[in-house]
Amino acid sequence: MRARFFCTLTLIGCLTMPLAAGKGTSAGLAGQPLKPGIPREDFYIFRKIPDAPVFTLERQTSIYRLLEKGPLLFTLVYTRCNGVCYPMIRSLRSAVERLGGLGTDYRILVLSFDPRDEPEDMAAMARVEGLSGHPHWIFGTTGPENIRQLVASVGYWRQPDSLKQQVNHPAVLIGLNRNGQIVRFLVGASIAPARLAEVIKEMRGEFVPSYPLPRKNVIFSCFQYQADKGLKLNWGFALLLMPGVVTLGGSLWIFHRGAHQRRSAPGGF
Amino acid sequence: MEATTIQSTRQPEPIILIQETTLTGEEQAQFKKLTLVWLTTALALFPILVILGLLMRGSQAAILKMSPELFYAFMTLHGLGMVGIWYIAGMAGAGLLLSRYVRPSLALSRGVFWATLVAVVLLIVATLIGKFITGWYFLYPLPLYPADVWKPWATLAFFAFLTIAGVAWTLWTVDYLRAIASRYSLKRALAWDVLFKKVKESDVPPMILILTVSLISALAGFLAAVVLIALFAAEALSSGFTNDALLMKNLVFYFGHVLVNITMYLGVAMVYELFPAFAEKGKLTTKWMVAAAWNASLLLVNLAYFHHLYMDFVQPGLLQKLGQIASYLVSVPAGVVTIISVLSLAFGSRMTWRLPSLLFFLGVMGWAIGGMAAVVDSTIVVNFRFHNTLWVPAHFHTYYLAGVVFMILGFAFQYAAELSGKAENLRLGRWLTALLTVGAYGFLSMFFYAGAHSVPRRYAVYPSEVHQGAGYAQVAIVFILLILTGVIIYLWEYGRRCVHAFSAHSH
Repeated sequence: MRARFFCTLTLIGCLTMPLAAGKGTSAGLAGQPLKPGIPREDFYIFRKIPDAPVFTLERQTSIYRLLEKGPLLFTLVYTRCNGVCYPMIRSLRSAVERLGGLGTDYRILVLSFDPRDEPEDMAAMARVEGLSGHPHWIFGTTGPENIRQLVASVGYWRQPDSLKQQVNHPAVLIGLNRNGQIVRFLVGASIAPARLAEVIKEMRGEFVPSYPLPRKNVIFSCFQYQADKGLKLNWGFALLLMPGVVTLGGSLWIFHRGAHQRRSAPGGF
Repeated sequence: MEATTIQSTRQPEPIILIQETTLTGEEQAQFKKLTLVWLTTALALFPILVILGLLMRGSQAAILKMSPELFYAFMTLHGLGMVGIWYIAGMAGAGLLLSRYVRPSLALSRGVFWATLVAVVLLIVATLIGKFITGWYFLYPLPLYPADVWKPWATLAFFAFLTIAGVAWTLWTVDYLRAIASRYSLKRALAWDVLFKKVKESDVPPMILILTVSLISALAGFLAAVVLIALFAAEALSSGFTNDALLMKNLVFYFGHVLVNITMYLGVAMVYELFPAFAEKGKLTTKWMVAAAWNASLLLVNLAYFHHLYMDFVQPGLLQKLGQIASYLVSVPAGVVTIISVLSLAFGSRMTWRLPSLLFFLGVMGWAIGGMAAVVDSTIVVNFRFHNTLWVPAHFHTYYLAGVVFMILGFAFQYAAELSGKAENLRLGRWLTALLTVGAYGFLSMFFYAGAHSVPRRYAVYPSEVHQGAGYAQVAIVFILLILTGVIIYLWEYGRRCVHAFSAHSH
């Protein structure tokens, strides 16, 4: 009896074991290859990014040393990019100029994820963007191992395209608070000032309410909204009703079974 | 009344341990012992959980410094622990009373006890060591995103606790239902013969009706938890599956709301069964009003939980309105009928107001007061102001601490007294009741007052905008110390009787 009891406990433990893995593992935080797609902020929020040396033309510093002076807006680019990198920096610059607060509230770290890039290449990129010598825009490189750690820590993916001699990658701007924790992702080449303002607020420690958009892989939602049809019940609502329905059926079954005992018992009704 | 002014002590009368039983002599002895073990386990954990509450209020009062992680670990353990211990104590007490009429399984109760112990250890490890600090509601998707605050194994330990306790308590619930079904048909257990006027009053005791309503609802609540755990597991196991936050929140509050309400109903069932004996008025029968009230509760307790989701704007308005209507309706039948029943029993009776009867009486009143505060908060326009303020813990602490806890403390004391045969010091009993009551209502009034002044709940430390919350917490600490003193005196008195009862049993 006791052995069966402990076997049952072990079985329950085994069934619930995969929960221990948490979302981090499935998201590739344990070193699994990251798949192309929109970076998932919810997997990485409040995780601390690892420290890494930062090499610029003028100096050698590190991410954590830069954070000592305040929050950082952080992005990964590469200088040979014919696609999104340069337009994104330009859009960021434009949004930052409209919002203000650079240097007082935060600074911007643009780091290359391409091991072939040298500090000179990043300085050239800054020059092209009209940001050369700007004290609060830091264009730098880091070591290959540091690149690997950094991209893994934020769920950033890179996919070489041998035909175009390019690297496919997402355009993502990451807000880091003073502790080096990720507070917000901003995805896309075009940086809307309103969205950037929210990131900056988050970096300063102010609360910005947000709500995740419905995703396609949600199977059991309670309701679906369609503009032409309004609110429609969905499969999730059936799950909500299930406990009540099963209880009703189960109770009827228990009392139906009890009828046999009631008939045979002297005091039964 | 005269007798009480002359006598300072009184021998316990047989209120719980009467001759009426379905068990054989040996079975009865085993059942009595197991019930005492259940009650003692719950009562031993009670002061520890009170101390956690004291420490949390200490942090809010800016008297104690603790990390937010520790505060939320305490909050998670305190919330789940309190609900858990009073549920098991309620079930154990109800099981003993149920054995007067039907035969619950002793072996299953034993198995559930050991499973519950394992679950309690897992909960303590998950919260205090693993720092799993999501609160009792482990609101989706928080448990899946520890953000380096807690380790993944703590999530495992927490869900293992939920699974083990959930499975064990579901089996316990099913067993009680099976036992009731072995003697009563569903129609009779739910007093439908009275409800549909086939007979004027039923000889099925009101306790059977209340327990049938409670156990069926509890089963639905536990099944909601099963669905919830399965959906969490599905998301953790697969890479492509994501849950709907609204569905998950509905499920968690369905489960939580039902479990808390059923715990109160278990206490109320004891009152229906035992209070008439204290009042020396024989047994209650199930009349139409009682049958109607509790049948209405069966439906409404399963719908009232929508009031937990008023702030979820994606929940359709119809369900929100249903939440308010059900909350209003659920409080009236069961609450009003019970209060009138208890008042009519107490009024003009020859009852000696001893510790158990006082606690039963005050417990029902606490249930009513907390229930009214809950009705206030379940009003949508009020909830817009009170949501997530200290008004919320104020109302649930009222019907818990000053409600079901009082009822179960009364039951446990009477039970230990009857088992041991030790006389009760009436004066001490009244002082103890006064201490617990003043402590409880003083502590609760600070919650209510702070809530009415928009002090938010679940803050480890109050920011400058609501600094007044710290002052209210300081006052509350004084009253918590009164409660703690009362609980220690109670446990001393209870413990003495338990030791006597255990040693008598072993001989």
